[in-house]
Amino acid sequence: MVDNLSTKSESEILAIEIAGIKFKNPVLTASGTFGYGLDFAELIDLNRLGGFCSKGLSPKPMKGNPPPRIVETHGGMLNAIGLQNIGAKAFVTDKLPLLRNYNTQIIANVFGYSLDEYIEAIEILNQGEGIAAYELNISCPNVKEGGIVIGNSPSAAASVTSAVKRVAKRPVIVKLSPNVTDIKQLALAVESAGADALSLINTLVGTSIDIYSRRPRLANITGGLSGPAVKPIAVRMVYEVAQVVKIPIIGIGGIANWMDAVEFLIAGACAIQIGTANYYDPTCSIKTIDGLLEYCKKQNISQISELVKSIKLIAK
Amino acid sequence: MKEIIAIVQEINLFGNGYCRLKLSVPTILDINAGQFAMLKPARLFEPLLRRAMAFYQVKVINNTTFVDFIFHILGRGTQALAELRPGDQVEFLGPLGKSFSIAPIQKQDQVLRALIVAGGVGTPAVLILAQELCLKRVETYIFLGARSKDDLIGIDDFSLLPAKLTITTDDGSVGEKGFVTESLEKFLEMQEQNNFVVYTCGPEIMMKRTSEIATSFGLKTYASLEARMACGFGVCVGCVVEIQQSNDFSYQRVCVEGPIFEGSEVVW
Ligand SMILES: Cc1cc2nc3c(=O)[nH]c(=O)nc-3n(C[C@H](O)[C@H](O)[C@H](O)COP(=O)(O)OP(=O)(O)OC[C@H]3O[C@@H](n4cnc5c(N)ncnc54)[C@H](O)[C@@H]3O)c2cc1C
Ligand SMILES: Cc1cc2nc3c(=O)[nH]c(=O)nc-3n(C[C@H](O)[C@H](O)[C@H](O)COP(=O)(O)O)c2cc1C
Ligand code: FES
Repeated sequence: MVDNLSTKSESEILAIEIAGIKFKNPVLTASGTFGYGLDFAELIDLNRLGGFCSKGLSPKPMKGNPPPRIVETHGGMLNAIGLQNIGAKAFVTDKLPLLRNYNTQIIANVFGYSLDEYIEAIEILNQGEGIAAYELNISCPNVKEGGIVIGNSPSAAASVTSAVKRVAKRPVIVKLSPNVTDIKQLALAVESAGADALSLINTLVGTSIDIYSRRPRLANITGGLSGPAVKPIAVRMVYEVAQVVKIPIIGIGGIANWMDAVEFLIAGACAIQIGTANYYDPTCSIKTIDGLLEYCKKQNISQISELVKSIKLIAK
Repeated sequence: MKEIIAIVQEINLFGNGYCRLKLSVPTILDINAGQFAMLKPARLFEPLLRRAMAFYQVKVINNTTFVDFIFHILGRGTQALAELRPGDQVEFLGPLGKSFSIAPIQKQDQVLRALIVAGGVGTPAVLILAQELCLKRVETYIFLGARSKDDLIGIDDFSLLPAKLTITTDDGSVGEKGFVTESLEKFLEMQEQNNFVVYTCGPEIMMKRTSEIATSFGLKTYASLEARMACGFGVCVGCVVEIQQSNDFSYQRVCVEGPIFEGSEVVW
């Protein structure tokens, strides 16, 4: 058995498929933590990644929130970037031609302030060559639409999903917000609206206050919490959602090494995304791929999908 | 930009809570005046994020680059850096950001002079610039400000340069008493010819005032700005400052488009 495994290639052991898209391994990088991909080309071999998610794209460029936009907390950070981005058109014309030189799956992360904006962005991105899938950010806690976040309401989330599905030329991954009472309801709503896959979680809303000036540390007052501090919440949500949906799940939240990645797979994720760790450990994604391969070999796992949802609930 | 493990060569605490850190980086780095690195003790879990530090001194010997930093011990990140010991490993990403340009001085048909205004922990960021200007034989005036004698940084190194050095302290414990910008203003008023390019790094209020004074004398200012950074290489978009562009503005990243910006374009 072990001999058998040692002759298996990295891609045989680590390759996965989600919504018909083949990924060479289950390690992707999360939206907003990887720029438009190219910034990392100097630091890691992009060809080794399963894939990456672009910074959130809107139909038109956006300026974003006033600074300060970030603050470090214990085991994590709060951000209120306000979705500053170059716009879907510039992504297609300026970034995609360069990104196509790399052998990795490109996922365009999309957001809007209204249904029309989602559709407008998707229609621009449909023209771009080399995008594998869309990831819909319905959960950004910094951006409000008439006070409500789409991702907080199952019916609003479902209507965005089905509207986007009608125009999208590529598989649609819906990225869920953790800022809800019952994430299973959200997951089921977007699944029945036609989502091809789910990714979770986005950031959790938080606040930090300077006790001397008594002012909020972020100009926006609230921001999204990310980093290792959120991992147990993310693992719990992946586990809960995996119990109720049939579509594949991509796990996100506080992943900083291969052990964290394995934990998400066992909980029910088919793939994972690395976010905040990219900032303080730019080669984290590559080390995670190497670590996963070694773990599989040592644990005698011939295909990583064997791990998915392998959580053992009944004590022996 | 290199992501690499550096080794602590020397570390010394001095003055009112300052630290000088010398690292060896096992590769040749092309570092220019005003650039910075992101640093964190290796394998340290908390704090998570690396801290931005300007290069103070750089020396390449064989295939190793020796870099010096001087920083103020403030919170968790700088505290952790100050606890390093010789031989310890440091996660190093750099060099990052744009550098101070001396082109504005050289391009003109007339010869311009350089004026450097630095304060507090902005001082380390301008030593390499001052050295470069002096090497190019540009007439250079340096104004260094600090709260007190024990907050002055790098006087030994700056005094070695063939530049005119003015020191001010808020409490008058050394040099002129008062803010560095007051000395700057008096100096400019006395000049027959205001043919300077101004470079500044320090507390935001000092740079703002420097830029205002320079503008009132018709001079250009290049300011090295600070912002809280998560990544240091452009991907988080967390470190922005507001930059004026004709009738509009944009948020630009201090770590990529900066840290050096033209003073008159910054919305202070
Ligand atoms: C390009 C650049 C170059 C720098 N060069 C130097 C240098 O040569 N020497 C030096 O002493 N410092 C320098 N700094 C500032 C240094 O990065 C901060 O002092 C450091 O990040 C504070 O970390 P901490 O963990 O000690 O503080 P934290 O615990 O993070 O915070 C302590 C206090 O410092 C403030 N703070 C945190 N980050 C920054 C920041 N980036 N700028 C200003 N205030 C901040 C916080 O608001 C808080 O009040 C530079 C910053 C930048 C952006
Ligand atoms: C600075 C920052 C910006 C982000 N921007 C986006 C974004 O544009 N779109 C999105 O869907 N998620 C965005 N996220 C959320 C991440 O993709 C990820 O879901 C979250 O940070 C949790 O993972 P982590 O703990 O590994 O960072 C952002 C996160 C951070 C920290
Ligand atoms: S610090 Fe992340 S973009 Fe500048």
